[in-house]
Amino acid sequence: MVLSCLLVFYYNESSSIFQFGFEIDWDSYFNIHLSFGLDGISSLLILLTNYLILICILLSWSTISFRLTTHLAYFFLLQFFLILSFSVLDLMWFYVFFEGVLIPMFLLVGIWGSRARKIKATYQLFIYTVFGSLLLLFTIIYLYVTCGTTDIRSLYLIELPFETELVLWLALFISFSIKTPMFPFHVWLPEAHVEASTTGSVILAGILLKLGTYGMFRFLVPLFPFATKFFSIFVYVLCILAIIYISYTILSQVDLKKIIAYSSIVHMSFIILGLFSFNYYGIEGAILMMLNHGLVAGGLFILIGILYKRFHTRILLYYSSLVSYIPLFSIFFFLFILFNIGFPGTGGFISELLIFSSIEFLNPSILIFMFFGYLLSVIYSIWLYNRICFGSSNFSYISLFIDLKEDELSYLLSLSVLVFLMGVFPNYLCKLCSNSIFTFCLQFYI
Amino acid sequence: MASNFFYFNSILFTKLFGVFNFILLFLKNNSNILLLQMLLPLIGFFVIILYNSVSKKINSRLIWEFSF
Repeated sequence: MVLSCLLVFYYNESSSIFQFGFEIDWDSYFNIHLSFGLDGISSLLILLTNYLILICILLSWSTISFRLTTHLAYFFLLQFFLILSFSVLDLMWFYVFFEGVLIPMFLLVGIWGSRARKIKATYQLFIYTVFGSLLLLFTIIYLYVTCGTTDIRSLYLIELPFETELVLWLALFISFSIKTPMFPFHVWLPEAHVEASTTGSVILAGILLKLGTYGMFRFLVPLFPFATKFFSIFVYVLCILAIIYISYTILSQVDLKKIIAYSSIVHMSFIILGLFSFNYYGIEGAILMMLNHGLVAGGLFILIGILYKRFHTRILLYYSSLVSYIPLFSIFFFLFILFNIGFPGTGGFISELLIFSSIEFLNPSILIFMFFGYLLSVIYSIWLYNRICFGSSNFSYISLFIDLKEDELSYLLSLSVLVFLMGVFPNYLCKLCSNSIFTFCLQFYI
Repeated sequence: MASNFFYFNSILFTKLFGVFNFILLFLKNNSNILLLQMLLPLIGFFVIILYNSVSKKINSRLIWEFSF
């Protein structure tokens, strides 16, 4: 955590090249090198990774009842693969680390999952991701055979025939949209969330989903800029369908974790819309939303984990009038619901404002659908809070209510402070990634 | 006795300062921060795996000894 703060502190904002770089000559005959480097976006994602992993490790002490040390070991392995994925500058090695993330995640959901259906959910997660990875591997092999390298700095300079770009774009897009996940490849996410432990859900929503959008930002759009422009309408349609259809789906859900999981899919669709807005502010908004969503979804899953630990159920129908019994929990739940909506003064507000304004600049008709989706997200968030915390009491079968403990309070408080800071001082984060976004825009869109 | 104590302390502080200086020099190179950032979780992973296997061995030995 300290080291990642140092990375952000030492990062030179005025430079647009990859910093902190070093290279290991892995195989000079095949021209594959293990090169690492960071820009503003990857250093912020590494900071988010370390922060959430730290919270999960601390949380494991109170939530994991068996094989705690092995659980911690898998978390360290996950952190290792995530940091490597965010800092590697070679497509081949990115594929290796991207897949490596799946091993500890498979074990974390499969061993420490909460119910009997965890095995089915684990295999679903594995099969969906492996199918996407095969397409990614196909793209990498094709690029290596045609260009003779998999280093992204060299690949950025190579221009491919338009038809080839279209095919490779589709393969890479499906691969990353499964990981993100995007409609219609989102089926594995709610299942995995429901079956995973609280710490597993925090990491899954907070960081793993960001790997897909990071892949789009780092590889898909810069490598195939013409195909990106060509398919942009297709992406907008998919995102709008996801926002509206999934928001309606949330209104019919009864499992608390599923509600937050589906809400994550809606937020990821907003992020993809920002990335494909071909606009500086849209991309900036997408990056801010990636960071904000990591913190907010993490907080919401911690809150649901607390409820599950106390009452051993996540079914919405069993909860009502919690504000009378556990007021501190209700206050924090309300705060995180506001963060999820994107209330003014929070990080979500700034990011949504930037994405909405960039989409208005691009195509005002998309904005109408986005506003409708946003309205639905406000409705389901307030409905969820109202359903859990207010209404008549039906707790005749429970006599003991325990509010937030000191450790739980400290995790939630730290997450809330960070979201508020992001909302009040977004300038620091924007400045940190401004040069990389500017180079990104300059190189591919103008 | 007192001189021995101060002599020991001076050596200890020199060694500690040397280690501190080495860490500062190591972190001065920005690439090393990223390298350390990558290696620390891996070291953590192997330490826990090692701890797990050692504690299992100790436990099994204790069980074996107590069984007699």
